[in-house]
Amino acid sequence: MRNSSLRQEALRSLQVLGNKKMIQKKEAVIFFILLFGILFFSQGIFAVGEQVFCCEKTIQDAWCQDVSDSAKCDTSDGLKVVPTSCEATSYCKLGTCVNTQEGVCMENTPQRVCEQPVGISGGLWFNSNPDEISQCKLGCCLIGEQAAFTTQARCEQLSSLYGLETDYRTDIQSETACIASAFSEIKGACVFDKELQKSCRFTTKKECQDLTGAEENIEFHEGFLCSAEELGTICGPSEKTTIYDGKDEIYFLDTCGNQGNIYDADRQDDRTYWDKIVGKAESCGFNDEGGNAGNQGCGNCDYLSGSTGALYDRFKDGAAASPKFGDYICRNLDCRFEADLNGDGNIDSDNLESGIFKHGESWCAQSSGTSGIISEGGFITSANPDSATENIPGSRYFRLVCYNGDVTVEPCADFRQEVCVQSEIEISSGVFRNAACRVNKWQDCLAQKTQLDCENFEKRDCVWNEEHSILKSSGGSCVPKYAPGLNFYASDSDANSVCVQASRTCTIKVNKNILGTIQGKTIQEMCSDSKFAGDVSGCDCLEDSWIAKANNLCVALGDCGIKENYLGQDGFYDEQNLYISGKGDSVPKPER
Amino acid sequence: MQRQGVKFLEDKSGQLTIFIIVAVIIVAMAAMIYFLFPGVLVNFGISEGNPQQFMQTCIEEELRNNVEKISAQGGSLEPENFVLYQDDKIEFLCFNENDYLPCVMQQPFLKEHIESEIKRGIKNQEDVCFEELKETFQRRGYDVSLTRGETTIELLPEKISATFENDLTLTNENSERIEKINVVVNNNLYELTSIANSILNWEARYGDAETTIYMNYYHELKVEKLKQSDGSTIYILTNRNTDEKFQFASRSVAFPAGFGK
Repeated sequence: MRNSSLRQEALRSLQVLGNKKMIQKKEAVIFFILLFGILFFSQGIFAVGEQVFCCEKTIQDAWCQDVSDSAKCDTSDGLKVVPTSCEATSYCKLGTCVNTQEGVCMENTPQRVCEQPVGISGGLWFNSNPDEISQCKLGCCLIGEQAAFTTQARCEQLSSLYGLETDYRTDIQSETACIASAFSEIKGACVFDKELQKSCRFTTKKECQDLTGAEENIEFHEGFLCSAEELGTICGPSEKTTIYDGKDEIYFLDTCGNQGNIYDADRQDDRTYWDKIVGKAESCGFNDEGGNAGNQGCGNCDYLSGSTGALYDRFKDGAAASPKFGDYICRNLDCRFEADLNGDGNIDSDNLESGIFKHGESWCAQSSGTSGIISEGGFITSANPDSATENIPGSRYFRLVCYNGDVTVEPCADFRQEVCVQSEIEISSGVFRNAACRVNKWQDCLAQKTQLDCENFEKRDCVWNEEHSILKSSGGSCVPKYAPGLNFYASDSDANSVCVQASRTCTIKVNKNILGTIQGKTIQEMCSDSKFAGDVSGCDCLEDSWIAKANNLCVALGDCGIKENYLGQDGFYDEQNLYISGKGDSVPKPER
Repeated sequence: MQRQGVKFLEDKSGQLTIFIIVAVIIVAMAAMIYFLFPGVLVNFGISEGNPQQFMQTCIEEELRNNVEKISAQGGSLEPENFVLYQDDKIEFLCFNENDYLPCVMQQPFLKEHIESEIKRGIKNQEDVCFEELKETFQRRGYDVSLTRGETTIELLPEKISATFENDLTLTNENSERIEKINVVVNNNLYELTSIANSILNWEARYGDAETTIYMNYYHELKVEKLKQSDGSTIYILTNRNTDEKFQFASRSVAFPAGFGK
């Protein structure tokens, strides 16, 4: 019924939301897209031919902004506004601001904001990148047993705050090497006589030498534990365990409360395990894929593998993880995530999103109306999305991240200006996922003339549509692979100018000489009657396939055409109001 | 007689039982009050023994409230250029109102700015506390001389320190001069602002920042990144151990709907 009425409506000529003016506008928009491509990748030009003003401060209270209307500038208290871009001014030129006190370098800072901040004293401003400024050069700052890749001034500041000596190494030039160079101070058993007893403290050599209390006959035994039999101290093995700030592992405690080796239930009664320091790599469960999470007898926890030492909690860790000795356990940091995508309060158990995710894993949400999981191994490899059901109005990509047993939801940029991509690494217990929101590179699709350029996935996210040509003589159209969202509901939206590019005109021509013989017949009847085959052309305009193809092109461009939104609600357009008939002369009006 | 004697003994043991019960109740109530309402001790005068303790008690709550408010608002008491998120006005610390362009740093001295905002925030309570301090010690029979001086707020690792360099002299039989009163609250804002600075540099250079890098380095840190429809991004940094938060906003390399205006 709907199709029949549509065909009648289309009797003279069919236009999809269009007229000649719109077509002219389309050409203009395509030009704009080409221009946009240049602007987008050059990233520095405000707008061609548009007057730019540099506001020292806007009325919205933002410093140093380029605006198109000087009325947006705050001119009170002598604040400046000049008809040029901020980069061309002295006060709003961007550079690096060095906080000499803290040793912090901040990029893209206007000179004025750096040198004269409100209410506080300013810093040094340089018209260059941090890499070119000596005060911002990075080195390795070793503070105690920790390391930070930072500036020298920052290192000095941190050392002073923590009350430690500055050890700044300029020969280490990468963050990884710096962190790797962080060393644990040599520790051992500091044995001394106190109150007629041979006591002991597990500490560093320096701290041992600095003991100034009632201790006598102080001796430092490097690499030994206080519980070592040969030292003959009052300290011995115990079943107690503990954890320390900044460390993931669980340690035995000796009877004096000193640190022992990493908790290993199988070696609690092994006297040799209480003699000397045993390294992490030589301890139980080293390199265990799950970091010994939930292991009742091993405290060699590892954060990056997904565990950390924590006080045993039956509800969090489960009854099976109850430690054999002490109160601590390597807590599993993996996340249990249960998705309820349709919001009905029931967990979608068959959904790929529901389940256990590893600590540090990130993955793409299967949010309603998107293309689901896009796998990326260098470039997008997933099949072409279905424009009718994927990337529909209101849909958005989300990335989910699991850390410390907690899942955080990171929305990608709205209006599908970013898509979520995911890759997987095979591990023995399954797969480890890594996801990221990355820019949806749809902007220059419509300007591509060949399929080869169009589907160059390293440069853009587009697909070739052979059904209609937007550009003349290109034999098809290059359309976004992931249709972007448009804020068609906003008064200043550019939705019309995007959607109009999919306007199609289909013309049915009728031989004027037969007008007398067709009185009372509709074009539809003529098209279906072979008698008129030579007198009527363009009858395919009335076929469902033409209409479907026209709409396919329309919906592929963005939030255009006949679409449901991500909640399943119908859009504004249907077949009745999306297709409009043009003006044909000499053709009888269709019957309604 | 014997019977009376027995009764007497019974009465005595009954009384003793009652005393024990009452004593236990009193101790239990005191313990309950101590654990549930530690601040009540202030009213007993226990925490007001000296000017240092008095000021710690008097200004600590105000200091914490201000720090919490400032932390939720991107480092400002009254944000000017902000995005609204769950009723919080979150200040843009790096901002570009134009699309596709990297942000312009708005607050390169974040730590110092926060310190000055905290100082401003506690100013009124500081005045009230010193006035109360003066009156309290006068009531205790001291001659009190107070000359107001500089107040310094410092964000330090794991704490925030407020130093009041007021010249306070208490005279009774002896005279005691105090030149500096220091109030300290445990807080991780120093660490959170350092991470915020790093994120802001990423935002200014690349228009985005990767949250997992920070969570790999700092085990107790949670970083949330919430991109908004207007192109702005809200970052929420949370210390998982203490639940302290610092949230701020950035608008950098924003992608508008469609091609934008």
